[in-house]
Amino acid sequence: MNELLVISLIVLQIFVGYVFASSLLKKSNFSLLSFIPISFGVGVGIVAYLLFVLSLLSISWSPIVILIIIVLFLLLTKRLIPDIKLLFLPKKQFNFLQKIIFLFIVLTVSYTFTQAILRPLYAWDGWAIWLLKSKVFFYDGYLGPAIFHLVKDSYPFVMSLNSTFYYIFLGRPDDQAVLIAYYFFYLMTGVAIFSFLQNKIGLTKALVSSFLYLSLQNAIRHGGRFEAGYSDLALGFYIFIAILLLHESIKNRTGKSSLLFGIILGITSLIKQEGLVISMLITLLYLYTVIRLKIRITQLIYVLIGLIPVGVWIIFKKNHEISYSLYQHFDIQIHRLDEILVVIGKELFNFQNWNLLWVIYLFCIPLLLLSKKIRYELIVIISIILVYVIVFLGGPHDPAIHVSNTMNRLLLHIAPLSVYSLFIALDEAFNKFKK
Amino acid sequence: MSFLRILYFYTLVCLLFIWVGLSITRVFYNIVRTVTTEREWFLMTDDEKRANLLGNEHIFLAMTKKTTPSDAEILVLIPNANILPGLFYKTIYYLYPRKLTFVEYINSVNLKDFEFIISCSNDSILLDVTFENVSNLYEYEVNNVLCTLYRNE
Repeated sequence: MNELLVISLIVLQIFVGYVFASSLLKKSNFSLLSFIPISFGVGVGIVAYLLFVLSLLSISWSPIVILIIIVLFLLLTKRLIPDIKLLFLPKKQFNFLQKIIFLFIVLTVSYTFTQAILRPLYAWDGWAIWLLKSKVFFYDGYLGPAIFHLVKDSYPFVMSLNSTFYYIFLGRPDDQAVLIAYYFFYLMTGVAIFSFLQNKIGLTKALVSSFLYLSLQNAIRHGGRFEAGYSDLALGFYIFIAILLLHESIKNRTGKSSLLFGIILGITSLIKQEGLVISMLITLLYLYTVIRLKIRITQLIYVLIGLIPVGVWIIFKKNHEISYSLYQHFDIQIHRLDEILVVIGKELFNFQNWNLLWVIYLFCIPLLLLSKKIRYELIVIISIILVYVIVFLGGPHDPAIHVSNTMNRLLLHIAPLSVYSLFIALDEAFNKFKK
Repeated sequence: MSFLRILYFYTLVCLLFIWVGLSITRVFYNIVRTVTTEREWFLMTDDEKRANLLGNEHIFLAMTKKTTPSDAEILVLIPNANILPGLFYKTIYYLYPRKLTFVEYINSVNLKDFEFIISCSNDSILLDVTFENVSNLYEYEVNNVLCTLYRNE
């Protein structure tokens, strides 16, 4: 029963996100299917921001108050009824091969869903960070600083408050039912890969790419099996959506699309601490593009408006002296590099986690470098890997243990973007090869 | 078109087929696993699932949760936190909103301030001598360490 309620709340989040996103994006540029993951991402962020703001204003987190605010929000955006035409998927006849691939996708996502509802929370970060805070916030009725000081961390709030949102409507913490939200990050990433590739490389290849991502055992584990409760899959989802909206913002050059891009960047920053660094990288990339293409500087201002919640969170942390970090004593030790690269290499060749994703990605480096369509994706992927290598070089932990414990999760941050860019590059290269 | 280029593309096609093959195999493997080794999970109660995942850690903390009122003040004595790294977080996770005070040394607090005491230590002499006026409610071995819940009389 609780599982059904959580699914209903996720549908509500998607609806709220849809109403908001559709007021900012040109619907003609997107299919409904590509709107759904964006809407889910925005909806999760809006709910977390809402609880954060209510907490700052000392307003109760009662379900009635939250529902009233959501309804008012929908009325204010004046987009209460979605475009009826968009409610129906374009009728596409799958051929036999496409039906088979689609069947495998359905089997994979059904299996992961079964896993998500089969077991209660087991993931370490769930106990120690995300759902621990969700539970504390739920009982306290607000986001207070005490728990940050007790467990000595300063992780941001979106994932925790999102689960608190479900707890508020469930009336009690249920760490099995909320794992469905983690499953949805897995599912929505697959939907986003398919829907954004469909128009670029064709239906069959898009189905294959989506299937190959969804059947990665590491994604399955984080989407439902044993490791649901970590936030790395969610961060990967947001990084991917942010890059897609970066393209949209550059293409459309409207303030609204830049604002939505900024909002997604803001949410990305508040998923995990790594998210802030990655958002800064993407913002720098955007700034470079604004200068290079002589885009109006006001576009950049819209992006920065979307990042305001990040500023509020930083001020909140400063006011309450929440400043715990594993990397306060950062000392780069270059001699660690060999060891780090060996462990990263081992993870890239870990077929059990990744099938052949990284092997093929490395094999395709010449094609990726030649493709002009995926420059941003490639820059972001390389920058993220470089940042992680620097963190491993300077961190306080033994890299042999630290890298092997975390690398499988860190690669989840770039996995959706990698599958997406890989298939665009492959399509481009094979088309040239045929000619 | 150079031979190397052709070789590169055919190798790439082979690798892609292997990837797809691996993924399909994994789908079947996962389905088979669901109906064989994982079938028992469908028949377990929530409590059994948690005990299966976390062992005595769950049994001890779930019983403590049941035994203590939600506004109880509990002293948690873990002399060597390194031997039970997860217990700190899981104790908070299970027992919140009970007020928990974590200490490594019993001398640093006044025992009278607490209604309940959780002690995780294998040092039985320490336990016997320190807790004179408390009753032992139950004890479980958690990761080779004896965890006991006491009520302050």
